[in-house]
Amino acid sequence: MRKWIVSVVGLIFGIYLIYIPDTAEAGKKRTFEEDIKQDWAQKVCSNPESKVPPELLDKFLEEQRKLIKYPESGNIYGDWKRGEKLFSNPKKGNCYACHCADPKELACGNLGPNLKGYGKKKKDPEYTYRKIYNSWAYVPCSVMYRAGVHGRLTPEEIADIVAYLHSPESPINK
Amino acid sequence: MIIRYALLALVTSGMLAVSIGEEIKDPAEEVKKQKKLLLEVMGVLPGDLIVEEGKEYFHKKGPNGKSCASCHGKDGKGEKMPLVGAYATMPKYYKDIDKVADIDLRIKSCMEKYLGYDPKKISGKAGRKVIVPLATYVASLSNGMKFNVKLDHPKEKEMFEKGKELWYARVGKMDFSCAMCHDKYGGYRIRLQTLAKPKESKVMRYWPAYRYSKDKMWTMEDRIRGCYKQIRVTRPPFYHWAHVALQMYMAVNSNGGVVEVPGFVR
Ligand code: HEC
Ligand code: HEC
Ligand code: HEC
Repeated sequence: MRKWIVSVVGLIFGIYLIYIPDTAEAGKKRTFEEDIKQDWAQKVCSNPESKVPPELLDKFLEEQRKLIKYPESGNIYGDWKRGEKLFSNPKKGNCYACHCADPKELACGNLGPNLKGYGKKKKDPEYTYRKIYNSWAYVPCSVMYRAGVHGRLTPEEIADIVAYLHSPESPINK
Repeated sequence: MIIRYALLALVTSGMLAVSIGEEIKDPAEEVKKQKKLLLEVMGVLPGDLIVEEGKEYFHKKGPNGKSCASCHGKDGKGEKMPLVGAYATMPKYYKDIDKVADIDLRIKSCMEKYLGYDPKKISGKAGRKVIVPLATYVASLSNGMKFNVKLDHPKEKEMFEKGKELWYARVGKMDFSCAMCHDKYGGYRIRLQTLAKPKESKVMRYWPAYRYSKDKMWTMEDRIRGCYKQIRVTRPPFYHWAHVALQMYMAVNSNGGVVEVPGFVR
């Protein structure tokens, strides 16, 4: 009987643990109004054509380039195995939402180009780093989000993904 | 914490197994297949049961002894204030509440103002249990009629403009807007999901809709919250002006479409 009670209480506690929000998240409860505030670039892109007006283009690109930061170590070519995990993790890179890459992953979107064989075609890891850090520095208003600018990926994490895209050992380039 | 992550891992690995088993299918064919399957198994579509449930609520007395039918007539067909055809003209400006309201907000307002419900008691989940079936039922009273939302009142025009602005606004840490997914990339696949084109399909005409992937009836407010959640923007609470604004924009784009509620979607 005692054991039975203990396990029921344990189960309820387990369910409770799943449902309570992380304390870190609970501390900063955000509102819709806060979240729809836009930065200058987002405002410029908010039009039916999703294009930057020609007279603003130079300023736009310059501002976006300025936002790009590098890892403290200066190394933009990290660990491809870590990069592989970051690439597919929906809470981090979430790159499969829009790109196919490793042919083994079938659940991939087609908004962006297929990245299979990327490292064989593209030979400039710095471009790849900068593109992932701030996609809008190359294609203004692209649907590809600015992972580094928004801090969804740290510079080190982006370097890992660069390695995943370029390394000859990566399943992408096999 | 460890238990929590272990359990989470268990749940997500289950989900992963499901998504790997999934393959790319023609979405329209898939919807047809699911509908046929449900009809064969249940003999009736779940959405139609929700309409019946809404009809029951419509004729049930509220805290002050009145029912919706007291003012809007039996089956919403009263001589005064009939609800037949009403949904096809919503969102709309209402003098009695001095607001532009979508169907969710309009029904909630009637429950508070005219049936004596305590606003605190129906603002959350308990309220949704009644408001969603009621909205589905009331919307179904416009079946066969053409959507015809007008922007006569200045507040209606203002809502439309706000809705249009929200539709195109690139927001949040994912830099998304409704338009990127549903205009520019409508028809493309995000992971395995084909993106709908709500303006082209005159979406308001078939919402509220039954979602077979969740076995739930959703009003457009649920849908909008779902989309904001996907792009990691804090969801507007139910009955927030953003819902009314976005629906005003989508409703004007749905004009001319014939109402067919409840819809049946993924
Ligand atoms: C919402 C969709 C979306 C997501 C998510 C996304 N991308 Fe992209 N990506 C695109 C699109 C569309 C393009 C082509 C247009 C452009 O360059 O912006 C692109 C282009 C690229 C390019 C340039 C390809 C070339 O040939 O020059 C790279 C590299 C890339 N993406 C990597 C990534 C990585 C890594 C991630 C995950 C961190 C990612 N993308 C997430 C949509 C997306
Ligand atoms: C005491 C009378 C009363 C009761 C009871 C009542 N309403 Fe209303 N309802 C109104 C009034 C007044 C309006 C506003 C009419 C207008 O301005 O066009 C209205 C408007 C509406 C509309 C919009 C109609 C249109 O033509 O656009 C809907 C839908 C609605 N009510 C649903 C309900 C539902 C569902 C219930 C029960 C939960 C209910 N009402 C109960 C008085 C009532
Ligand atoms: C990241 C892409 C994305 C964004 C951004 C997005 N949605 Fe969606 N939306 C979806 C997906 C996925 C579905 C489900 C489609 C399906 O199941 O076929 C959906 C469904 C819908 C539907 C139902 C379509 C139908 O035919 O039944 C509507 C309406 C809608 N979204 C409105 C919006 C609005 C309004 C916004 C902006 C606040 C928005 N969406 C932003 C991805 C998105």
